Amino acid sequence: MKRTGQSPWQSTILIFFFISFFVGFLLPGQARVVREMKQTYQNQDPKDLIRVIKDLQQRKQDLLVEETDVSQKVTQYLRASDDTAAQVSQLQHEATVLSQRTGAVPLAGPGIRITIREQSSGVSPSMLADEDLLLLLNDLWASGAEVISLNGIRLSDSSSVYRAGLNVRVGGKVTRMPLVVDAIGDTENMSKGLQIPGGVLDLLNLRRIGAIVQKVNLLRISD
Amino acid sequence: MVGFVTVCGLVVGIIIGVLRPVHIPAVYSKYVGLALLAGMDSILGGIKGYLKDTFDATVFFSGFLINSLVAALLGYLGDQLGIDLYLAAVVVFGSRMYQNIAIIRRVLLKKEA
Repeated sequence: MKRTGQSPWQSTILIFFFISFFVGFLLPGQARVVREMKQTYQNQDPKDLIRVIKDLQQRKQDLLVEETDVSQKVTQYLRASDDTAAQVSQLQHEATVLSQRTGAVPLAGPGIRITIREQSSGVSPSMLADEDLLLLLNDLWASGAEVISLNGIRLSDSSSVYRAGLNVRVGGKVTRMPLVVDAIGDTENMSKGLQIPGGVLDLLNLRRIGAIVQKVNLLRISD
Repeated sequence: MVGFVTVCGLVVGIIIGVLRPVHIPAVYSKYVGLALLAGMDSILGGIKGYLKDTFDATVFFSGFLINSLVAALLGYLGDQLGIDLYLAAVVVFGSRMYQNIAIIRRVLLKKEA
């Protein structure tokens, strides 16, 4: 068919358009199927599949070991639950821990004492903020403090601590600066926890609030 | 003009194909791929014929249909016989596409000159 008239020219254009449209229309579908096929295991490299299978076998082995451990623990717990004396001992231990936390019993032991002094006078006074105090207390709890007191006022799990003007309010009681924080617990851990670079002591130094940390062999915290 | 229409047809087809993708079963994807290769070879052959004033619509259309079908059937037959016969179609159509592109390029360069 030569380009001699209007009609053959139009049919040439149409046929080119139709065929190229048809090919173009099928291309995305074909590309999608090929992409999906590459993601199935049937089309993976055997070496990759062998590695995957080995990994899965190792994982299965690990899970079996874990299952055995957990089963042994369950058995131990079941045996312990049959033993009344063990139950009583466990409950007594829990009661002791709870009474310590709630402040029902006085405690004594090694700990650390932090003395905090703020510069309330001078050209640029510095003041201890609520968040400094909370950060200090949270760091102490996190690094192993069992009991904490602020100027002799013992903190419990539900104590609120905040600044009230120049005073510091601890629960229902009011105290003043300077603040002496006593904490009984793992002395080394607490000391390290406070001295972490960028931690609460660095923050207090940065704000020119004096904080002296002392290790004390025997601290006594009562109600 | 024909080149422009071909590109337009391809682009429109791809756009519609992306927006409303046709579902091709995975088992037939190899044969459809071969048929598409034959189709692209036919399009390039058609453009070459048009530029050299030897274009025949009947030959073009029948070539498109038969080549696509034969390529797909060759692939299927190869699978049945356990021979990679589809490689024959890939080599033939692939090399012809290269040749046709080279000829189209030369003709266009001569026309420009």
